[in-house]
Amino acid sequence: MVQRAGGAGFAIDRRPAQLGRAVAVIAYLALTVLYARYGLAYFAASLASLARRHPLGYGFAAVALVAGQAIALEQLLAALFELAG
Amino acid sequence: MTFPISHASLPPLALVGIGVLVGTFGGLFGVGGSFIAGPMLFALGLPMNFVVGTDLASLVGTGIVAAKRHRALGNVDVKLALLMTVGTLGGVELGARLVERLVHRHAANGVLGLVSALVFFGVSLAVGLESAVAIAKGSRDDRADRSLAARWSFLRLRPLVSFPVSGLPAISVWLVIAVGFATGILSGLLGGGGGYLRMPMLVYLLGVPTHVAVGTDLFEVVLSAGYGTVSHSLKGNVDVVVALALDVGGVLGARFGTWLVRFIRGPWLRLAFAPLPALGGALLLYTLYHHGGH
Repeated sequence: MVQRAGGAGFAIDRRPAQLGRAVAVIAYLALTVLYARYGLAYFAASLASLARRHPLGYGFAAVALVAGQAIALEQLLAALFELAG
Repeated sequence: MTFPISHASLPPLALVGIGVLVGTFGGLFGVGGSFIAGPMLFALGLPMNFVVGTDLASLVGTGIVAAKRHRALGNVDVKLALLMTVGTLGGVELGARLVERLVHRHAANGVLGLVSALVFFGVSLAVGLESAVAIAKGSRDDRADRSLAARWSFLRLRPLVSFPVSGLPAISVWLVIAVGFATGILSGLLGGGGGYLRMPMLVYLLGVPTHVAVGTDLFEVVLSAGYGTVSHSLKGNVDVVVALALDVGGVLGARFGTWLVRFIRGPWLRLAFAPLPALGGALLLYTLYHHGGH
């Protein structure tokens, strides 16, 4: 699909960006499934250990994790909505 | 599923569902939704100390997404939020120390529950009445009729500062810090981000347009909840895995809420917000009645 920028007088081919985004979304979803199946329990146990040994580090890690996950999920949703048109 | 940090056994899908509800309220009204999430998490079986700390952690995630979207829509007054944060952090510390004193006197649940229920009902009544009058007058204005800062000249204590994004030409620095301080005390005392009080105060006391109040409140919630998360982690009150599960739903809800906010204008948005704090107050009284005040 080639889209023409209105009035700018040049064409922008958006296919590579959309293909890259689709691959990224599929990879992200596949990694999420693998992580939920094999990595979540280990991850939770590691965090529990961190919370016991270094509460301050755990606090900063908690803020970084929730913020990072939220931003990544938001990007994923935006990409899905864009792919869905 | 058993969560290893809090040792609580909770259904992950229910956590995602609560997240969707809270995220929608956050995107729509600029509040953290703690008055709904707190009692629900407690009812699912999460211990009360983890409810307060974990809810704050999840607020960072949902708040950051909703605030980002509001910033893209031009609804965040960063200067106003940063100045309010100065008061908020002081208020949070004072509130947390008051809680410690109440805990030592074994009066925390009863006193805190009743105070917060009264605050919730008061906010609902005030916002409901004002927005109903504005709608009856046929007002489509995004601002409340006249802010208290504009009506009462004694509130114009120097130094004055302007907030172009909010359309406020000159307002007292102390008034802005006081708004942050008051909501900070409630946040430290009762948990959550305190948005149920900050949002109405921004609109009625300072005269900030409703949509900017929503976005600015969300931005401020991210800062104060981040501080609260670290503070509660030191006290062992945060289960970040529960917070991550809540945020999966929260991100979806926040997107839905910020999309919905475009279709509800000024007074109608305030009227839709009005019953929510009262609902939280009713849930709280119900919980207190069934679990006792001690």
